[in-house]
Amino acid sequence: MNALELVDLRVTGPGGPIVSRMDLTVAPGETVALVGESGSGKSMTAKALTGLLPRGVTATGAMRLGDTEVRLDDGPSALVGLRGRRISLLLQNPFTSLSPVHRCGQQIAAALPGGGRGDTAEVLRRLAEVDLPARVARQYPFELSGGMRQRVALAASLAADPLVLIGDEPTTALDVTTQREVLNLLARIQQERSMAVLLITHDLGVARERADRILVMYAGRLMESGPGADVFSSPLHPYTSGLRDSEPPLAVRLERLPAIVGSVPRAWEIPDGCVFAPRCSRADHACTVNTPVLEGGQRRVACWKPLAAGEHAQPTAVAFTETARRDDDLVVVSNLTKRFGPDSPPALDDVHITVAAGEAVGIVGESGSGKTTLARCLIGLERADSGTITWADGETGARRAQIVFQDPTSALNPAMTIEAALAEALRAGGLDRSEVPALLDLVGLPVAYARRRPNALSGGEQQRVAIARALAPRPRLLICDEPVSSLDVSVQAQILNLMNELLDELGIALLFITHDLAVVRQVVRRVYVMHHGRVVESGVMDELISAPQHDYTRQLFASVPGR
Amino acid sequence: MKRLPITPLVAAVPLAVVAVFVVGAQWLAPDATTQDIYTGVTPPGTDGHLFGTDQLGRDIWQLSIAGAGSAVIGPIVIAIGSMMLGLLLGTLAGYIGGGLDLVLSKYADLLLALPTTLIALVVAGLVDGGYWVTVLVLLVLFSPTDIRIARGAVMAQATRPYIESARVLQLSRTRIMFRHILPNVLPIALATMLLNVAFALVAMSALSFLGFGVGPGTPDWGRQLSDGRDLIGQNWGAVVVPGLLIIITAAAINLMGDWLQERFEQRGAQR
Amino acid sequence: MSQPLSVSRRALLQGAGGSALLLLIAACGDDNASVTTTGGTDGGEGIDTTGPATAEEIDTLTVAFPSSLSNIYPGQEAGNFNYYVAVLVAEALAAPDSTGKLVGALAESWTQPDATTYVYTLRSGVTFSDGSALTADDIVYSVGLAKDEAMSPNTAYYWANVDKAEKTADNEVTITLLSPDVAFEWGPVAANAMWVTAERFVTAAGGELGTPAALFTGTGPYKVTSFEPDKGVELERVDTYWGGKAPVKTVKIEFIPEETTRLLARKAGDIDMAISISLDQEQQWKDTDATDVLFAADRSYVGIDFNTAVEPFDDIHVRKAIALACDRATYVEKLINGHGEVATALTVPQQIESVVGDKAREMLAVVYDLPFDLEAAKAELALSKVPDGFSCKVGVSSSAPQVSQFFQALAATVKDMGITIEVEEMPVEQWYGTIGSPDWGLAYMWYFNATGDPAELISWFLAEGNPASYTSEEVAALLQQQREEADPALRVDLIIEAQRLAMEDIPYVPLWWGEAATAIDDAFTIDDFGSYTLLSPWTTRILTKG
Repeated sequence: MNALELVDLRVTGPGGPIVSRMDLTVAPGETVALVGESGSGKSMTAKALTGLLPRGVTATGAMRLGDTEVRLDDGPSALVGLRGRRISLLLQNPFTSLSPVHRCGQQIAAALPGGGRGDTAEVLRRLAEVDLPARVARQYPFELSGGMRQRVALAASLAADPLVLIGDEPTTALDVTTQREVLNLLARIQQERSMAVLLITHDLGVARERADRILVMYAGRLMESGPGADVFSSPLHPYTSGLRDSEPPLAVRLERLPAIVGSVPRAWEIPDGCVFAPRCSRADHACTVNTPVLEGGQRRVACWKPLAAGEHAQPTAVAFTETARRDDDLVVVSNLTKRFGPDSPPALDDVHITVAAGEAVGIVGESGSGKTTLARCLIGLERADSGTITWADGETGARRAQIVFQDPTSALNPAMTIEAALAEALRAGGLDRSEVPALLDLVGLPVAYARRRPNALSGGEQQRVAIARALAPRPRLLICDEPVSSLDVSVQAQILNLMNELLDELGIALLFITHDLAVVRQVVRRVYVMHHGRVVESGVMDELISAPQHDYTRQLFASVPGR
Repeated sequence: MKRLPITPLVAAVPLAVVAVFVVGAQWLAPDATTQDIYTGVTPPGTDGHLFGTDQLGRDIWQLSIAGAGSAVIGPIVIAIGSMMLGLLLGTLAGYIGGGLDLVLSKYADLLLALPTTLIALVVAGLVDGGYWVTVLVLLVLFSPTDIRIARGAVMAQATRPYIESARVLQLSRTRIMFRHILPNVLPIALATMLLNVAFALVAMSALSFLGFGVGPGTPDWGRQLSDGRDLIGQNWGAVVVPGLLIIITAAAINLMGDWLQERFEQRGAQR
Repeated sequence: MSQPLSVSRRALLQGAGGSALLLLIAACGDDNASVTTTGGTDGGEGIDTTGPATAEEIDTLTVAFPSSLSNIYPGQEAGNFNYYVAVLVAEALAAPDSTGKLVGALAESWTQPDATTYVYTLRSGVTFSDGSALTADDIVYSVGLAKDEAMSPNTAYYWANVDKAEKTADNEVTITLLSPDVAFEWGPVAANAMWVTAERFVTAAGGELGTPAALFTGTGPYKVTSFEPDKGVELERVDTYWGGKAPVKTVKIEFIPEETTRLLARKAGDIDMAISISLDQEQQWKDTDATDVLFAADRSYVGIDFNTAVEPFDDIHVRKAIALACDRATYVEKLINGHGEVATALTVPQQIESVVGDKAREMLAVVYDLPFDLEAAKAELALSKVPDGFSCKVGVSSSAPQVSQFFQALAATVKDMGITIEVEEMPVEQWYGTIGSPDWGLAYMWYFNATGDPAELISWFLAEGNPASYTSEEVAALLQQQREEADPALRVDLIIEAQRLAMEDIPYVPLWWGEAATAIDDAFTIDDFGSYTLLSPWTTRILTKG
């Protein structure tokens, strides 16, 4: 008997349908990955299954948990007794999913069927199950690292021995090394308990590595489903294929990443017919009229023109040809050291890097490595304690360096129109606002967007605006701090392509900071690896990949999921 | 179609009525200050006087309509003035920080430590100014709360990436403060401003009840309360009508302000 | 300020002690004694005695005062309520009877051999509250105490004209004046400016005479047993008092400034009696169970002052126009609920009743008799130098709401004539400063007569430096004459004539003579209750109804 069966789930919100006609089953001990980008409806599915939909959003459909039938039409009350007991939810952000004022042991105990205090033997046993020492029971969440917190959250969600565990992006907020550990842990526990796991993720690599079966969602509909090994290696749906191709490879640098044009439609923009048709290169008129249904046996696909096994929808990517490095240094950083507070470990510890004029350089590291502090020192938002930053030629102020941040939504002033923001940036570089249309064009946005405000744009479009703003004063150096980490895979590919184009066209230098090796691979030639404030290794990307010298570098490469 | 929220609708009704009173007092209550000392005090329901008359024969209901202006306009000025002062000083304190922040924060702390009504009483007693002097004093005394709120909101915005981007663009501090931060802090300040109107309304009424603020003869709810105390036995309307008006108006403003505050906080949280 | 220091602050500050308290009381909206108004019938209304009153012992009488005191020696703090306590504890040579006529207290009698000499024959067998005997030396010492500006700053001025006081026999004291002044008789009166004590008590008090630490030892029927400045005073009967044992054994005075609190205390039965209750609460007090409300003329005068040195009030037509616009009868009926009389003179009837009896009002009626006549008022204004009207302001104490209402009503009446009167409310102290000030052409006076002397008010209002800036040689001559006239009846004639003459020029417009209200448990009655009762040892007059 399946642990979880879901038939014809539909979730509707105030703006329109969020999830349409979703079916899924998960067997005990099986891991099913629900893969999709933002707007795919995967999180809402998780919420519908646990009765946690927000106000104004309703679900219909039939669900079976083990031997218990649940009608979702009856509203969230139908799931009250089951949530936490038979079906449990592990959320993305352990910082907010645990109560900051209760000890960890108490929080686990609260989820146990018998309740009780936070230091009982049972609680300690649960902690041991997630590889945490007994002392954690008495600690508060803020005293633990992110990975440890997520383990506590995991223990709490397992406390009532549920049949099904839904993990909604459970490792996205963690460092890549920690991510691997937590996923391993999850796999082990799953096997020990024969628990069904529904893993919701946007990370194709994670899905590829961990899932027995993969379901691909797009704009609230299932596009494709099948065994984990097959879905991405030989995709049937053009979207799946496009998604897979958008992933930047680690092994080789491409001239141009294959990207799916356009962006995910909002709930009220869902077209007639196949929801993916507007972005599909294979679509014809029939696709825009009738909605395809999920069909097939072990491998199922909802498409009028599915790919044949092994066929690719897009042309093969072309490898990038390296050009020689220029010699003139634009900026040289020497002996840079910074400590935040006398007792804390150094954020920057005797760091040396150089960037030549027009060169693209990468800084790779996890959180706490100092990469962001370095970037902030370069643009003047922080001041180092000691060391020097020497700029080669005469540019000062806004024309020296500009920055693009990770989260485009908070990087744009919500009260300003795009035009005003760009005009201001142009002025900072001594240029006139009449250049705004040209700027928009440069980053691939329609001129009409000038009148809009940031909240009317998608994440990818917002990041394009942020890039445009950074480029407006014609800086010599563009610093990007995790510029694509908040974006969906398909949008990521678009932005990376854009960056490469801009580098070519404008000849500016780029300092690309990220934790994602595959991403940085596609943009830079040289890279510095940072760990705990120090540069542990540096060199040309190709060489680093084939023969990493430092232990940490090796560990970093090994952690990258699914490649 | 979204369901219309109940709270602001309920609150809007009395506010609309008061607004009509304020604007239309001339036409709705033309005889507010007409005396008829021969009639003197009469109870509610007498011959053409819905809520009776006061000792000088003035109609209580018309007096109350005419009193809406004094009850509401001063507090609005106080709230707006306090908000503007608070935004200005709070933005400077929150963004520039350092010594300026220290001075402004201590100044705000000092003002907050003073008992508002008492200080207003003392100043009104010393200076011969009546209504507008009281308004000015309350404006200054209310500003520290707005300074604090603005300062907090500004400090929260100051670390956000879009402000850092502006700094990296080497924009001037003034430009960042007033063109970037202020428009994003304004919504929460506006919501608070409405609540300040309610507080100021009660404070001004209390002060005119105590005899400060408007002079005798000017219609004003607080004054009516004070004058009416002596007439309770003969005309309960003299006290009940202005008293209820004060309560209802202040409560309605409060409801509205609370609702707005919640909405703006939600919006902020979503970002 | 143009009023001379000789004007009793007590008469103007209307019942509270100390100016700081006044501000507070004004802020709390207390009306207290300022609400008192002249009465209709003398002796008040509302006493219902079903049988003869008995002198059976009353164990405790709790009385509410509308203000608090910080000192029981009126030389130091001279509010009306300080006096009401002082007259229970101390005495002087003479005291007023219920008609206001001076009779002997510590002096059995006195004679006046010449215009500047007074010889007092002392009563024998008088003891202080500690049992020690009163001697003539004590009397002489007490005169010195009353004259001493440091010890009795509030009342020392009254003794400015006294040259010396000497013990001329074991039971005789002679006081000599510098110049004749018939009004001097009111000096050695506990209701006014002298309280007899012994030197040893004052030395023991060490400069804190009258404070809770030192109190005041006198010869009166009661002694203070406890005194808490913001709570109250407790008094115990002195059984050795020369005048006998009064029925009330213990008097508990509570200071309750807030009028509703006082009313509630009475409803709860926590107090037996309340002095100077607010006129506007009259009905509520009357409706309270087991409570009588007694009204009596309080010898107060309320009227308009014009400062004739200030334009446009220097023009008699303007003054007359305003005077004709005053509908005084309606004001009395509506603004003070009929608890008062339309005033026809500056002197209140009770000040002359002891001399002329029932003819008092008839005689005073000649002083001022302008009617309420708007047409005549307009005509009068047309003759003035501001025929189209003018604007002015008037300052009203916040403890006088009835006066504020009066001016608002007057303002409404004269608006048609083009006269704009702006009423400004202010604390009592500030109002004090408007009297006779060149910035305030239009003002008012609310005056409480402190003594029973008929010339009390006019010796300020018509003398040099008066608030109306009024001068007249004839009137001045009459004033001087009455100071020296020994025959009381002739003196009264002179006083009335002086006012009549002056009022032809309308420097003042008399409005009303007021009344005060006292509430008392209907088990009790006040013997011979009248306008002078509270200036005597009033608790001795409280009897149980039969």
